[in-house]
Amino acid sequence: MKYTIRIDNAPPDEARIKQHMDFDKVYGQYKAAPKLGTWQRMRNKPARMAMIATIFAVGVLLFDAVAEEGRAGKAYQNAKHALQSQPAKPHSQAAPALGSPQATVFYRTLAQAPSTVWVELFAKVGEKRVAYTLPQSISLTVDGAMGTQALSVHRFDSLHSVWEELGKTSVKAISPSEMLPKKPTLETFISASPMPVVALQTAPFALDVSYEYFPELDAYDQVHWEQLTGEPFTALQKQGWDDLALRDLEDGTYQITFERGKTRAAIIARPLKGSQAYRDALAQQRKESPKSAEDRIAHAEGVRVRYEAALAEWERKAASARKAPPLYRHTFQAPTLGLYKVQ
Amino acid sequence: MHVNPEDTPPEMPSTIPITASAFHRTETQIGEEWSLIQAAQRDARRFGPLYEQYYRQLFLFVYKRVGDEDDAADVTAQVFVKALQNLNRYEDKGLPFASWLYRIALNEVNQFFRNNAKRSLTISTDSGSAIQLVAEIAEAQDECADEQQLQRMYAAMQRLAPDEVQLIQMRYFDKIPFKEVADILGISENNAKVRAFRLLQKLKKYMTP
Repeated sequence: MKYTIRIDNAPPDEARIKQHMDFDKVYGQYKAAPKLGTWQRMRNKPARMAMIATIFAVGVLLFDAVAEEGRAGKAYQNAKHALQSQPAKPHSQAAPALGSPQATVFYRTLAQAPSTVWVELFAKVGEKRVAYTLPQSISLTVDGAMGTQALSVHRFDSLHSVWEELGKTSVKAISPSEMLPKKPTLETFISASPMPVVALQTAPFALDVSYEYFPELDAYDQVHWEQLTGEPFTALQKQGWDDLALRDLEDGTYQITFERGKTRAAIIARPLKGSQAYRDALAQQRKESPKSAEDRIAHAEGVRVRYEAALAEWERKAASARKAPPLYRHTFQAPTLGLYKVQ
Repeated sequence: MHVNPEDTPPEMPSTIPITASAFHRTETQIGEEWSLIQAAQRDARRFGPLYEQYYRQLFLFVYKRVGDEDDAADVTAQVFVKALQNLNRYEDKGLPFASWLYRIALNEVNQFFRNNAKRSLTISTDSGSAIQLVAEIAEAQDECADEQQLQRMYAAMQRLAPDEVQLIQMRYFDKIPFKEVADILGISENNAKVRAFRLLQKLKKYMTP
């Protein structure tokens, strides 16, 4: 039988019941019984314990959300502050969308805490910030002593003012030496600073021709020419010509035409009659030429000084980098413009 | 064969009604009781008057379920120890002190059977209450039942769960009002009524040959 059923069973009478009454004994048991601790009382009431645990968990989540919101607000304040001081860099991967204005995507590190970095990605057309939809995710990197573990990447959802987790970064350890710019060389400096082109006049030249048809020239034992217009004589001379024609322009200048087959080239030149005129013209040419040479020397000296300064700076950074601990490059994909938090 | 209530023995066994004085109290009595409780909350030694006031009721409540006088005395003592341990958490927020004590008693009875797995819960009633229950199950106008029906009902009760038996015992054999049954079980009065109705339906089904 599962239950014992008693019908019309007489209970103990009053006297017998009173025999069992002993408040002192009950009080003694009460005093002797170990006091229930809070934890024990909680264990006896699992439903209440579950409710308290739930309330606590919700409280923690709410507190975290509120604190997170506060931190987000602070991040934006930092961002505004950082905007004043940190120039943004155009991002090479962000190509403008077809048909859109030529928006340029910029990125910048807004604030950096020991374990958190905020990065902002935004677009500008000219000087104006614009909304812009990235045609594809672009890769952003954060360098620093952020640890070897992959970090969480959060994007700030400005619509709901919450941080949305996107995923984890990929990590690569890199030596500070690897992050140094390429060691400067003199060649790179020279190629980066080309010599200024000095348009020197062609030096007075002589023509191996007979001036018998030009008595005013034939009278002189040697005639040199000072070129006034056209392709430089030295260049024309290299091309080789079959014939040349001289025509008096009757203004003290002559047109000299070079011919080879059907190809012709013409310059205008002034005859330097007599050795004095030649010497004068040559002196004038040299007067210009040494000045250009000095410019070249000064330019080369400037290049050398800048190169040596850059090399010294590089050596200093390299020596420092060799002593520095390795850095960790964290890379993540940013699908949209906005504020990102890596922690 | 139907049994007329008048045919039942004139000398009803002295099953003591335990509810009347426990639950039906005047405002003055409630106020006085609250003063005693507050005094006991300040000093446990002043729990004595409440102990004396409720001992007999609780003893019988327990005795009806454990079926043994000494066990009932032990369990009842434990009920008062628990009451003393938790007295500071009792607040007069609509739950009568008696109901609070009965709730503790019910828990201690259940604990007694958990600790004594070979013992079985006792269902104690008098013939009159049993006949009334059969009549209620049958939805009969007259409170009458034959021995066969009574036996069927006792057999049907064997198929109920312990908490269902406790509700039947409290409401139909101990005659505790629904409001107080609800307070003891920690449920609403309507819920207690619904549960009781369903239990009657269940018993009726089990009693159908």
